[in-house]
Amino acid sequence: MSKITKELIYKYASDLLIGLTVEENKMVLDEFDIINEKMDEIANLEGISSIEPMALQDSVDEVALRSDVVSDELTTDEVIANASNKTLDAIVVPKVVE
Amino acid sequence: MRSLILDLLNKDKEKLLKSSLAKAHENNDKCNSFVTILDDAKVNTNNGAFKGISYALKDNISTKGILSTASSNTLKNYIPPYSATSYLALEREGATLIGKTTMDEFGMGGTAKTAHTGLVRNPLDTLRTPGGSSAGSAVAVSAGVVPFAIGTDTGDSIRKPASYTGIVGYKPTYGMISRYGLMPFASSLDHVGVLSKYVYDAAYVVNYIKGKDEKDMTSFDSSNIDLLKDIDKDIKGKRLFYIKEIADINEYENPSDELVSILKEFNNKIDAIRNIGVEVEEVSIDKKLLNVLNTAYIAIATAEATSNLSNMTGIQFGEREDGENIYELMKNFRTKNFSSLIKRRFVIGSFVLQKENQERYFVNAQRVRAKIVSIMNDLFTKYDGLILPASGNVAPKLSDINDNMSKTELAINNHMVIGNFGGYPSITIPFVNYNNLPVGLNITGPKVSDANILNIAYKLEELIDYKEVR
Repeated sequence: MSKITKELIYKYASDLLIGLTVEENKMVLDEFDIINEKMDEIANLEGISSIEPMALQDSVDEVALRSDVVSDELTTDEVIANASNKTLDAIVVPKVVE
Repeated sequence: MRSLILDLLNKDKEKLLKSSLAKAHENNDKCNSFVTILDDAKVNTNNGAFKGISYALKDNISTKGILSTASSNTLKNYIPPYSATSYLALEREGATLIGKTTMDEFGMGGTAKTAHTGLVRNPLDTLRTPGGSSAGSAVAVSAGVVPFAIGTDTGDSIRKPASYTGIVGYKPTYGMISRYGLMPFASSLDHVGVLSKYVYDAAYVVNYIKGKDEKDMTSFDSSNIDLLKDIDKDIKGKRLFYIKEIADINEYENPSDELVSILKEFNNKIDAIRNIGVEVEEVSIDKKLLNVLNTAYIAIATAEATSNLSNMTGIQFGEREDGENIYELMKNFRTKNFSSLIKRRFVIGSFVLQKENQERYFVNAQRVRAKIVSIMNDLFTKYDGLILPASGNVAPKLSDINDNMSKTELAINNHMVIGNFGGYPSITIPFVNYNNLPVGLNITGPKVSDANILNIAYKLEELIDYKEVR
């Protein structure tokens, strides 16, 4: 487990492509005081480590992938409708090759 | 039969639409309940169950050609090129959409203070929150703008606002209503549901929008389930339980007068329910487990949200910001357009997912989820449902609340997350007023027992005969 610090909070935020203000960083740090206290309570629950974690809902029906059949298709106009920067029938993208 | 929908079926829908739109504007000015009001809406003439009746949709449900923002700056101009299955079902059944309702950004948070268009006010007292995240949907129903509105519920986001605004909030079994077209917050916990004045109306709406959808692999076939057929059946002999550690005032140190009053009324109602032949028993659950439910929820929900909303970059979605390179562009977009709460929750979600932290935070939270679901599943083999107050307080003042975590969270205010952990059908109905503000009663049952839970809620609504706040 890594100890949470303001530097670590800035790092995680940066990895998420998010900038935090000094106040926001402090709020996250304060919230981790509470989370850590509560996580200690969880870690101390009797038999917790032997419980199988629940990640998903139990399925009511058998889960099956749908057939790979083309149904609805978007038109070019629909695809570019939300783009703020477009030319002709294409979306203008930022330069990605440095 | 207590039902607004049945009353409206044979009324003049042109007049109803005109009235709903006028009320929507009036209510929006007072409470900020709508992101979009569809002034050019036409009465839906499809020959279906709703015969043109007006309704509102939460703004995280995609509507082709209609602004859908999830109350986030990141999507402030987003017009989806496709529609959610739930919306298409309502269209097919002849319901008339009059607007998209304001919500906590992407459904995260319960204060009704994080929408990009500003905070939402409770129509019963505009200094107070209506609760979140389905804030605008609850307000629109409570204020009589529409007979029903669609909401979504990840922690208690339909059922808590219903409690605070004196209406019914129903979250069906996970997978009963397709989530296709719902902008995801925490996919393993997200549900689509309904807010209405009466239980019958909530059942009516879900009866016509439920069903298996090949576009949502977690949806299931419920064609053999009729939510209305037995809704009025006698409930004598049904078995309910409540949790002692939540409902017994002796479990609290220095309880507020408000909590004392709410629990006293709850116990009075339990006596009244027993008097009609329903067995209600007290069950004990480890307080240590109940006290960490909200922390487990935050760990799971923030982890899923961090992943789900990673495509909000200004490239796939949203209006692009400037930047020297693609990373700076995305960072500028996310920094500028997400609210402070969302950014903070993302950092928590990312932290708990780091390899070195997963076991202590994320996996242990999933174990708490498994533990409470296992306990509930065992109890549901003996009982039809769990009954508890939806909250230990009335709607708080907007000036008194924020989304910061607190060390002193009471299980009575967070227990409805059990319904999301297990995917259980869960419904809140109004039951008492304190200081002229409503508090709800929540009933939660085993998976796919929706018809039974609605039957119990319908008969309790009849028994309680709640008097609306005036």
